[in-house]
Amino acid sequence: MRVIRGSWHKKVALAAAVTMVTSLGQIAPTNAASKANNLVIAISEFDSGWCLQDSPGGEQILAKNQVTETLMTTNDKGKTVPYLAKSVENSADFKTWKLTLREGIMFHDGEELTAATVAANAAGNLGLNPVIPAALPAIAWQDALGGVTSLAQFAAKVQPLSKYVIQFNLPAPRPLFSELWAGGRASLWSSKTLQNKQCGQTVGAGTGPFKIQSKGVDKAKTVLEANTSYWRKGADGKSLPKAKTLTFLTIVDGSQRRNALLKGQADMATFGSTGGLVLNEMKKDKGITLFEGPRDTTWSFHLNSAAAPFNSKNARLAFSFGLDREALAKVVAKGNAEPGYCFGATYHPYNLSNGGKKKCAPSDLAKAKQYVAAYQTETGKQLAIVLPTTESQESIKLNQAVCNMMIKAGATCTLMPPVTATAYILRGFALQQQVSNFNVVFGYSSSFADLFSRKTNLELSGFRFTNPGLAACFQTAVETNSKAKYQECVGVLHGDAYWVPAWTEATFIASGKNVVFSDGLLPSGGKRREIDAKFDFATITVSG
Amino acid sequence: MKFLGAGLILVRALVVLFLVTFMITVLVRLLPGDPVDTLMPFATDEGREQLRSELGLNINIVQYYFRWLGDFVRGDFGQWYASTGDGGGVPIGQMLGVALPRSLFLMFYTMVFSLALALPIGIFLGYRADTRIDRTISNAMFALSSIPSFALGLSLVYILGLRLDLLPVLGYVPFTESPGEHFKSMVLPVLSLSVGLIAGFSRLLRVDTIATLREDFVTMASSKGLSNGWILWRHVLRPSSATLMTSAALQMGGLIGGAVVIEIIFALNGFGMLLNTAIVTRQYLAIQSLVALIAVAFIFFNLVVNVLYAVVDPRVRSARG
Repeated sequence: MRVIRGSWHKKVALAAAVTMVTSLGQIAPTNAASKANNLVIAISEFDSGWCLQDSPGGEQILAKNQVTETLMTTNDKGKTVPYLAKSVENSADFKTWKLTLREGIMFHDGEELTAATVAANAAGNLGLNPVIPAALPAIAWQDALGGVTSLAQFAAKVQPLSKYVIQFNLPAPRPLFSELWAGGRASLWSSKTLQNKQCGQTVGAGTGPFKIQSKGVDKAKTVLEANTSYWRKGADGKSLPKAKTLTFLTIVDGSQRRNALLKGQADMATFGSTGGLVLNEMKKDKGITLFEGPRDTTWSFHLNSAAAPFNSKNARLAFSFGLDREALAKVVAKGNAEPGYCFGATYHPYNLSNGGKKKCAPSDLAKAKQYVAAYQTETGKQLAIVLPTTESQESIKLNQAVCNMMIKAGATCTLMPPVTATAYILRGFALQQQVSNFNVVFGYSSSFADLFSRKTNLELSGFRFTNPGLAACFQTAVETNSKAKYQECVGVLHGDAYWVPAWTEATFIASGKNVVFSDGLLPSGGKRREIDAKFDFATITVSG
Repeated sequence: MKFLGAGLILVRALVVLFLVTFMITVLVRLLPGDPVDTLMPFATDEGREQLRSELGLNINIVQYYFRWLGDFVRGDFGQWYASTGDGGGVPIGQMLGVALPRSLFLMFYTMVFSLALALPIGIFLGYRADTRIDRTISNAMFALSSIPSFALGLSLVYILGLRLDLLPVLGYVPFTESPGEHFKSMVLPVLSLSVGLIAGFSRLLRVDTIATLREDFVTMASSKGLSNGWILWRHVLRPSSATLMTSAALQMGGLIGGAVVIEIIFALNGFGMLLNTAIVTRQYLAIQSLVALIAVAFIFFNLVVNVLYAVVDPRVRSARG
């Protein structure tokens, strides 16, 4: 009996060993991504909803925008130009907008892009589709169309004039209305998709170069396949997309995204400035090419002027002057960001730097100390700052650094217990935090920042209650699109330190050695607008 | 009598399961913040009320618990809530179909590898207790067990993945897709988790082996002229394994949901990562079902160990009758 059992054990062990050895022997290289024309992109964000009512982060929008497309887009010079639309006309008072669509554009489910499809998407954006509940994006659309709560109101303001022409009648002048159709979140889904509760979760038909193959079940992997009847052609006249599949793989850890590129397990990867150490390593890596987008996204602190201590201008100015922006850019991005003395890049309407010559919100420790003392004289209390954080290491590290700066200026400073990013945003909007850190100023357009500076329900800093005149100033700026008016309003924003710019950063995309770019999309070292959520993977291939 | 004993064990397990899942329900309800604010922050009042009803927030906790339990035992773990509300999310069962096999493989390979090394090391150290070699290896094991698994993981990635180019640095390949790639993808995570376990297991076994070696039956076996190897493997290992088995069972339950850091580093995205994402995004139903599954795993592995006690140690068998 003993002999038999011994023999049985040995046989099993031998069989297992043989299986292991033979199976390990099957593998020659370990670079799983390097299969010709199957592009693997490493991102840090997990799968989220892609439908109209969802608010995915930048990397998920990047993935979504390979499936869906927008009526308008932003060109290299920052101008909003037609994309799925063929042309755009507006009345002299900027209240009537007529969009003519390209003909023959097909969604992945066989539906043709028509004015009716655009109307269905507009209804969804406004929160009028019962399948898709109202959400964050609806605020921007409701703001532009002046409050649309019924289908009758909708019919009066959104009118398909023919199969390919649709007209929008706005209640107030909106010179930048077409920008609403250019944003990464404003891409179009087929009408059938918009009637499916799974819209953007596991299914969804857009007009983009790739179709959804699998999404939503594995939260760390989204696979897209080529749309063989895609409408756009490459510069060589050949069909797009060039890759057969795109796989978006979630790798949370930045150093592992870099390792995946080095090993060939991923072909491309995205990074933010906050991954400063990894970015600096990649600049030295052979076989990795790092592309940096324009440094035009400003992270700013929004001070809650509706409650103590930042209802005091002295406290706000103490915070603004106390912020050592040089040090902050080093702490946050290890040199991969600019100190944010002004909002956005020089071409943004909120930027007052006069071509980079002026520091709109200078750092000055001596002045910060003066304002801390002035606050104490004003209120009889020491300036006590409490900074909220999210659960991310970056947020905690950033706020610890800011706290040290405030303590140096003579204030007291503590960190609130960390919460999720969503809870942070929700508390910030409800003015339950003294301070919130957001990036509402980016790119060329002021549309997004305008949402927060006027009459929507995104309070953010509460200055509308303490300075309604400033909110009215921004309203006029939006309706006239006057640069001078913007300069006047943003001057007060800086002067009274309601929004305090902190640092200005870019988005990075890194590629491995097997990636082949065509159409001159990414010249080496080039800084192009494509390094953002509208990055176009259709012209990229990967060699085997 | 045997059936009665087995029945009692089963009833005890069910009572524990009931208490644990009810406690989870209560704790999930006590989590700060309104889940509706997180899942549908910009919904209308009507939409919010509808979601509240779907999540069972408008009924009392006991009613809600039994509604959930009914679904759970039928294998319906609920939905991963989407902004489109009920019917718009992905069934958690489907997501488990992706995540659970990864964690089970990770747990299985880690335990097999850890025990395969810990058993001979533990027996050997017990046999050579208080010698120089015992002290040297024990100290080395102690040092190894103090290295956090994530630090070890990243070091292994650098050495075995990047410098020596032997293994993939991350990712998971299903066994059915390619057995070779599958094993390769599991080597680094398994090594990262195993080193601490090997150290712990071997130290436990060493202590029990030392105690067993002092028993009369070992002296008897030795006096009969049996070889040391035979005595150690046939007569000493089994009665020395009780503590090791208990520890292993707890580790198995823990590894299913608790290897989150390793899952993040190696982008395995198994059960632990799914639970972590559920907590971060306040997927209340998912948290409840996933934690309940971990509790089931703990209870199951403890039941198995209870049975194994009797198999490996005749004294336990005879005591149970």
